[in-house]
Amino acid sequence: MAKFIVRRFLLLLLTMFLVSVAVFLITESSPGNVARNVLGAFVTPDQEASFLAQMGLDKPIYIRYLYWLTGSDWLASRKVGLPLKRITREGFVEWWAVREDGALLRWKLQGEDLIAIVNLGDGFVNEYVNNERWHVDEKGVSSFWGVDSQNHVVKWEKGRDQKVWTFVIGTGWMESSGGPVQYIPLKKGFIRGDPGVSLRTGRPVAKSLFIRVRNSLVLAGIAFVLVMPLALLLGMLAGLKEGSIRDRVLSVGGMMFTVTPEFATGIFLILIVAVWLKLVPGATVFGEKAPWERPDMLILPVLTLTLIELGYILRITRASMVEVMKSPYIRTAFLKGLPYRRIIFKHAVRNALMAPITVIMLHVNWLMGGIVIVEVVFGYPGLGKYLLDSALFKDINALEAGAMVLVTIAVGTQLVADIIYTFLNPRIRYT
Amino acid sequence: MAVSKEVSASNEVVVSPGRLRRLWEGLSILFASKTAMVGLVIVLFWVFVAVFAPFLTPYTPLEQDWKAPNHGPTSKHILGTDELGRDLWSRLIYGARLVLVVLPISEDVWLPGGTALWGVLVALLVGTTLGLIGGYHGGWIDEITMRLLDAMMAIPVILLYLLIMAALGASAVNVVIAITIVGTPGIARLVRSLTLDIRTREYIRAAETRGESPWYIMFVEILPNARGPIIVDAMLRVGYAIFAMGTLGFLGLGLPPPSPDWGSMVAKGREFILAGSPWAALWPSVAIASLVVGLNLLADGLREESMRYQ
Repeated sequence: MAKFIVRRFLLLLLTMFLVSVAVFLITESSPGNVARNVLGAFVTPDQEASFLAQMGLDKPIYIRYLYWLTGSDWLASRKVGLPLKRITREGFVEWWAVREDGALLRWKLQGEDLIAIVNLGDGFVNEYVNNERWHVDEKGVSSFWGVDSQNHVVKWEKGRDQKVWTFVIGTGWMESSGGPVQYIPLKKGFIRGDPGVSLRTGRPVAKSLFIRVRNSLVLAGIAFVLVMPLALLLGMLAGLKEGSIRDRVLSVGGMMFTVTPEFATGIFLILIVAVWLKLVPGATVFGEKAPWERPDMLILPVLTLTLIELGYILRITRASMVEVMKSPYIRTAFLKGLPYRRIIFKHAVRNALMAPITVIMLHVNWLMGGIVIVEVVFGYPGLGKYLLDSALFKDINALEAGAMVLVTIAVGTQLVADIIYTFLNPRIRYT
Repeated sequence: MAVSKEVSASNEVVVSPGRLRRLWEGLSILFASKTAMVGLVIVLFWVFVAVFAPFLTPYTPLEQDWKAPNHGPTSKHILGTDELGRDLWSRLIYGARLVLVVLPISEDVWLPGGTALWGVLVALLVGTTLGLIGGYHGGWIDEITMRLLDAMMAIPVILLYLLIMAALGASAVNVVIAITIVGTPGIARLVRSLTLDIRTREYIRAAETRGESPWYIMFVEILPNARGPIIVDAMLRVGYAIFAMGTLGFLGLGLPPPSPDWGSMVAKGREFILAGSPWAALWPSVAIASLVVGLNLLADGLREESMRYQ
């Protein structure tokens, strides 16, 4: 069992690795580029180049993948020759170099002079001229690797200061001089828990993703809690007597709800409940609120998900129940003259539940697809919508992080399903 | 039973009355099941309007009636119009054409056989080949393909669709590619498991002793004997493919506008529901729901009735 779990865990890691590489390659090879998406169509080539360099997007793809996965601070720290430290001030991440005596340092270029900025805490800084750090190479060029104020490790060259265009989302372009010749954007890397900054929103992915995942989990959780008992109950009712009217109505009805695309079901529900009966709002607009603060807006998305999932689980439960009811031990129980209730509850139900419970776990993969569509139909701010927007924008950091969350959920639930199954059915042994 | 079929196929002594009778038996299964009949009627309706779309409407799907945007059903436009005044009935039936009858490759080049059908067909080709090779050869080829397909199956389907379509861009051919990539692992696993069973039969050993090539054995000896489950699976997959096509269109990843793709019609029409004109979103939703439900009723009825038959 332990060996089995370890093997499945390794499969999870392998899948995550493959998916993350695939996402990088696919985003890379696709038409359109993220700089145009962020900056708009009216950007000069100089501005675009400057932006790409600052974001580290001008580097070859394997370097970017390496930085994304493992971070860039270890490499940058070697270039600077000082350890780097990440601090958070007023919600913003700042990177500083640590001087030999422990003070936090950044640098800027003013004309030919290198200015060091010392962090005194609470936003106060102290500046001094720090020209002794220039490093002169054999060609006589003075250069210096240091930390700038935008969280890059950069290479300045004396007398070669570049024009810099800094793009601030929501504000626009800022033009300045004293620019470096090379940039390494600083990040910790995905495996060290930092998925980076979203290019689309300019905010850390981890923060937005947390809220989105929470919203999606609320939606999926409520639907799951509603669906499970209802579907198992109806499925068993249908499976009690195969071919009866009740069976036919339930299983055909369930099938219809399941195979209808989510967006169609969603449209029907909006039309009937929101437009025609005017009972609840037809779209979800939460603003800053959490979904549970507006339960009336949750009703339609939850209902849509419920209908889709209901039929699927119902049919599996029904099939399993039909099979159990045909088995010899149930016949024996009837022939023994046991009361009907007792046969159903004590003998049939327990065995009939085995299949649906594991299949439900395997179905999570499809359920996630359903959630994405439902979120788009109702404008629900969840993970699915975040992924769709990121994919269309080619926002690589957000897309990678979202994809990793999805893959973990998908593979993780399969592992849980397998483990539950071994407990329910002790005849199965994994080796 | 599998053996006797094999004998008749390989010796080329197909007696035509026998084949006719089998066809008749198949049809009588169909007629015996009410569910299957209902499904068949719905599917045939859509196939009919898709094939004869140009004769069933005076408008083209792109013709705009500027005097009547977002109208409900009238005598001029029986299902109403969308936000640009395009006739919804003609968009709907030309949309059915895209699903079932034609695959638009570029603006002037069209292939017969709908986008969804092509997706299933290509997935069948790729999946069957992989499954046959893996199942028949075994060994490291099998191990590697199956591990890779496992990893692919672990990726949520919606993520695959998103990535593929975001990478390739929106076009009918890319929808086919997306459906193929998503469908292949499942088909390959099914075919592999069937192959593992069939390759232990005597007639395979006989063919090997005759010195037939592996490709001959895979495609001429094994494949025809595995066709039953593959065909049933393929029927269900047509439903999935239509579902997938609609979903992609709805997400803005399907056929590019202004083509009358059902999914993108819903996505566009959705914006006008709360403004008081639900028709543009309603009809394509009804269309895709009825077609998919029809296909599933057909498959369900057939399966149920053939089980009772046995």
